[in-house]
Amino acid sequence: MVPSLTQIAVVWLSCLFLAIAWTLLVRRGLRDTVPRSWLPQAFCALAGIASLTALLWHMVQRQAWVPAEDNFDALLTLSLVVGALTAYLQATRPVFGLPWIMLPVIIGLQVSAMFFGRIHFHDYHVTTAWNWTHRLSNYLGAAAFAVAFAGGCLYLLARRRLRRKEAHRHQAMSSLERLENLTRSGVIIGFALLTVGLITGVVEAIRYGSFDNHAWLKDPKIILAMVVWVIYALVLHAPINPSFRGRRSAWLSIIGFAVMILAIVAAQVRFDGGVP
Amino acid sequence: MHRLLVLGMNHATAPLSLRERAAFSAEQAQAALTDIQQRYAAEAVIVSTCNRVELYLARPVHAQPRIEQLHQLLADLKGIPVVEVQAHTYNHTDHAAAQHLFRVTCSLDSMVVGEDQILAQVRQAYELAHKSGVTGPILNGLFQRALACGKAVRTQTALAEGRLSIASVAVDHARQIFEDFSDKTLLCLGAGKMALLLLKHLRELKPGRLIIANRDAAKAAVVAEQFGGSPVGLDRLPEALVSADIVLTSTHSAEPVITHAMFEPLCRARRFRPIFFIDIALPRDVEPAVGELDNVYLYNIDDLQTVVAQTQKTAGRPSAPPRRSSTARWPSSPRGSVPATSGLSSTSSMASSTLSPSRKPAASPADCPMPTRPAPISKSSPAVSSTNCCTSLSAPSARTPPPPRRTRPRGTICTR
Repeated sequence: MVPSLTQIAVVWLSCLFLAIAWTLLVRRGLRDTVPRSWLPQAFCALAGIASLTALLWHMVQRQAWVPAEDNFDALLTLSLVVGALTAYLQATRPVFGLPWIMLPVIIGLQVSAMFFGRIHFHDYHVTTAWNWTHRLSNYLGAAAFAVAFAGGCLYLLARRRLRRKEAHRHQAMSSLERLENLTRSGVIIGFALLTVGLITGVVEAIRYGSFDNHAWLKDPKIILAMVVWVIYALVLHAPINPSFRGRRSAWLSIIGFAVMILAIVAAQVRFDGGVP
Repeated sequence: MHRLLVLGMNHATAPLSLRERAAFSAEQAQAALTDIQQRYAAEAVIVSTCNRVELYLARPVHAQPRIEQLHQLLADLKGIPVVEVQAHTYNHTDHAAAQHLFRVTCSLDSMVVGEDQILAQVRQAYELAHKSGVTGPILNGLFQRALACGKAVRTQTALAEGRLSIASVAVDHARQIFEDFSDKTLLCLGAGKMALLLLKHLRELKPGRLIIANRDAAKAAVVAEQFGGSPVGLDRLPEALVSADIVLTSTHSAEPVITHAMFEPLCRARRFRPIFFIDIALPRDVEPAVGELDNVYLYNIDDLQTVVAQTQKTAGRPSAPPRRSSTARWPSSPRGSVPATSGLSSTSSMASSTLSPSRKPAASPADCPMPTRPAPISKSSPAVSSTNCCTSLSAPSARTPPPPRRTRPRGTICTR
């Protein structure tokens, strides 16, 4: 069921709250005189409530409670998962600057949910466990890669500051080792989930007979997903070939996430009865 | 009258690469001072630290030797092109020269304002020159008063309060690179006083392993036992570098000990792990090209001091307010008591009072407690060394004991 305009408006409100929270956080990070306050966290909480409201409303409207049954639902769920991951990380072992990267990613996911939900809505017709596992593992893998992407960006930022020998401002960035570990953890979890997603996708393709006519070779979604898999395999290769650690690993995690976004967009646009 | 002259370069006028070439070791300074006296019959003191190299002269004849001659002398002594010396040095005469010295001893001219090492270094430089017999009435009085002024500034003002040290900056940067230190190895190259001071601060990181590498195996063993590490000889340095994560270098070597050609092949053996070099030696122990390698973070003394200065500036440290508002007695003022604030802010007046030949004689010996003969050289004080760095290691400076006060007849001027 196509999301209603009211549901879209609620998601817009969530985006607005997130944008305000991001602005407050960046302003505090760049200027020493801005005192710490609870406002950014409050706006993030309001955004979470708005997003959850829109999601539950949509589920009630279509009278189905399985997540990721359509693209609006899936993208909105993904944004909530990324938000929850960020909140968990900041609550347990805060990483300075993590919300600067993650909040725009969440806003981007919600905007794409609104856009593709209205303009190019499609139902996934999740009828089998394989299908559901395929969708869920791919989207959750994307959430983990988002964390790796943020870790990679922050690593490059911290590394640049250290190479330029700049004095840190009122708050020091997280250590390079911590950021490298964060990136690595995101890549390990995301890679495992993506592998499950690819395997279940192959199973579904065989069930639908898509391998018979080689249609999968022309599907950008599949090609891009495989490219993402190779990129992150290189990142995980670092213990064997240590020249892939550090700066290279950070760049690969950024490039891999960018390709992942393209794969998600391709999955939205390309859904015309091709390989599911 | 242009008899008093200072010619020098500091962190603001010359890069570290030039300063390390121009630096004088104790032996070199002594030889240079003797040479200057033989050539020009002038009083001379050479102050050589990691932040500055300065030559103080009291010339016997008006404006002789000239500045150009001194540029050439410095260039010849250190093998530096004279145009490079001319481009990066400054010079002051008479009152300006005296004021400059007072600013230096009060650490107002330091990269890190309020640092406490400069006073000891100027004292060492003066004592070396006096021991070499190249000081006379002008420089004796000037340096004694400047040192007293520097000490008074530290004890009577808040200039040194809240200062950062390069040790704390080094520890802070280590924490910005590494998260967990229990599995990290700290390698200390050199076992001199400065290295040990920094090692004391780095030890609070609680690294899993400590290695002390030194040319003198016995000294390395002593330091290793003191800090709970393991000693190695310099022949095993490459092996130690493979396992090290933090490297502190402070040797007396005139050439870099760790070169790019030596370290690059070790990167693969290290599995490209990040490494943090803290090079506080002058001349530098680590070749700058090593810092260009990936996952290598190299901080020399200039870098650490710049970070300290930036941090202090960001923190908005005010200019030194007086600790006490009541008047304080300046030792060298012939007028008796002057407020500490005016004393701090008018180093030129003190410099003038030092240089003026028409100064009123002291009213009584109590008004001029400065000794009428130079302080005796303490045998325990180390000779000037420019190859180890200095600033702000948050350690008390080595002090010579005050000389015994000698009663003088009334009306004598407090100089020799």
